[in-house]
Amino acid sequence: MKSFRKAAAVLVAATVMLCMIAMPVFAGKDDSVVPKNKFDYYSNDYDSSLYSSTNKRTENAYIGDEAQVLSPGDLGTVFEDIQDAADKTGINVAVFLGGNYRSDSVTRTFAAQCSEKLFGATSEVKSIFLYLDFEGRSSSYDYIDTDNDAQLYYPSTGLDDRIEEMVQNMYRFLPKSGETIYRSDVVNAIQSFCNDVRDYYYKGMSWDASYYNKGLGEYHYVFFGTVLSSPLPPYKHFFVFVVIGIIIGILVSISNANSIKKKYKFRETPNASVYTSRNRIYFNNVTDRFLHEHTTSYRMSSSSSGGHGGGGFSGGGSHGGGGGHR
Amino acid sequence: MDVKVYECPNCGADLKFNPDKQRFCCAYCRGEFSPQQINQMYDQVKDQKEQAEKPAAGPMDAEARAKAEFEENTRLYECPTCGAEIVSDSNTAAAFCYYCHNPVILKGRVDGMYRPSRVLPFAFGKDKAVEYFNAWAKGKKYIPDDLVSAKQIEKMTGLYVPFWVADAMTRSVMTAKGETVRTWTSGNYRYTNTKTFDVFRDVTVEYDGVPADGSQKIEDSLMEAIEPFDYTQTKAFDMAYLSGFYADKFDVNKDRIFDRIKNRMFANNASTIEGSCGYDKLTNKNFHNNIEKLRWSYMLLPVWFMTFHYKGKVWEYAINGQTGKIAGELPIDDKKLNRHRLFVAAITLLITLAAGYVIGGLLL
Repeated sequence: MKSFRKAAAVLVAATVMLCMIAMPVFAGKDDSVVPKNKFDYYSNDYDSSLYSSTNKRTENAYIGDEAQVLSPGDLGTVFEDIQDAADKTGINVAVFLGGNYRSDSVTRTFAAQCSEKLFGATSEVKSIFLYLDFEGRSSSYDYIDTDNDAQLYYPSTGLDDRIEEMVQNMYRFLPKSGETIYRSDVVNAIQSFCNDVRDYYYKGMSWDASYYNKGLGEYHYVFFGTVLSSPLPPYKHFFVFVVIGIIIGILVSISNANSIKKKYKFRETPNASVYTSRNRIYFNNVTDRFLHEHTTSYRMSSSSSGGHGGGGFSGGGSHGGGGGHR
Repeated sequence: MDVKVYECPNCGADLKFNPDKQRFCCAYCRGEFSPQQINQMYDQVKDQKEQAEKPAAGPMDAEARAKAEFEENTRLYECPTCGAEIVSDSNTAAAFCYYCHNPVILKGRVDGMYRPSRVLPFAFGKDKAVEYFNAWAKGKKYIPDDLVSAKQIEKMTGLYVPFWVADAMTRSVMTAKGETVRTWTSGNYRYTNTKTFDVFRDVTVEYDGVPADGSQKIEDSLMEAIEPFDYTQTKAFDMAYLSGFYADKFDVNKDRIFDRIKNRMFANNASTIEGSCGYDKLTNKNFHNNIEKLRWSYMLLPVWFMTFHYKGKVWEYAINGQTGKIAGELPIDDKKLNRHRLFVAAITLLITLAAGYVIGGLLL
């Protein structure tokens, strides 16, 4: 019994530690990535930013050159690559070359809002939006925004931060702030981005990616290649079942062991009826005197009928992403 | 004190009672003799001896002769370790105590009051007893391996256990309140009708052969668990049947075990009465019980015994020497059981996680 308690304690402790280690990996984001920015200079200006600058657009792909960095030919070339990435992955892909000053937080808001403007704001839409900062400030801020389930392919947190890798891959081509920008660098950087979009899509969803879908009010996360949803954050989801499993396992094993122990006891005393027989039982007197009777009744509650219709709602998507400074 | 030895008339070797054949057998010349033949032979020998040694002695009737024979030829000795008192025939020179397996010594003579009226000879030998035990124990996965080892099984011992057997006429009277309950539904209402009766029952029940062991050292519940015995197979007591086995004399008088027997009979009476009433509920039950007639017999009944020492405890096993019914509690090897527990817990955990995965999938 002692060794069993010890083993059970070790099992429970190991499970708790595993879940605590996995917690940051599995944890969904509790807060929206897009900060609630009360003062947004560009909040009403997304359309003009998207469409006034040089741009190309289809249903699932977009490139906008606010900074006027690329030539028409270059624009066409990179747009083909963007379109190809979008077609092959089924994820909307957008690239914006920013030429106006936007702070880091405004940049993030801008990326998220433009993505929704371009491809829609429902929870089914999957998009990835690359913002490259060519405004010329001392510390340029580039940002990649991902929308809804695109976050599962391009997570920006946990052990598999693909956004970070995509940004670093682009930085192999992009100069630091203040340095001369060559068109070929920009083209290469965008092509690197498109390659990563395709490659990571083919690789599959990240094993520890998750996000909180505000519209649906649930967490989406990857579990052995399948997207699962739960009202609870992922680590709790697993943790609950692990805890339940351990408790049930302990109860079942105890009950099973007790039934085994019962089967190992053979000490039942036979009834003394084996030493007599029916014809040796004599009923000398059998008397049943009726005393009284009474009847009670109660009204049974009627069962309710009908059901209620289910409701659903769809709301805006949820954004994730990451960026870096050059 | 005369020592009685049953010798083979062919070769002079010791004769032992063989339960499988129900005859006396010689292990050397393979001669076999029925109990009647043995008795005849030894009656003749004794007659001749008495004629030669005691010419003046008058003729003795069979009962007196048997009683004298019992008094003269039994030996009583006490185990120095556990104090069990053992009676055996004079063929046993040294023996191990059936209870604690330590050597025992002779103590003195046994008073004639310990002579049983009947004896139930063993119906099968040690090999068969071992077979029964192995069939019972070997299928159990969690017992210690030592329990069914050859060395342990070797310790199995045939013992004639002293039993007090009661034939009784009992009478039980019960008064109670009986209720019959009927329920039905009509429309939206559920009705319950209850009728109450005064119940009176007076029952006489006759019992034959309710046993209780007369040995303090042997656990009562163990002996009860190997019941019943078929008393129609008992024989008039003869020392010869003890040959090759151990025997125990009673050390618990019938007055002390009377309550045990009585309670069993009265409990059965109560359940017989209640079972005959046919009410949904019986309350305020009062019983008055009485023994109207009682007759005692003192018998030696056959039991194969084995004890097993494990983790500081003595585990006892008894096999009914007539029917082969086994009683006892099997010890459990904690390591084996804990391995099983962990295995079950792990499987349950995996099933729960799989269920969680499916449930999570259903939420999509």
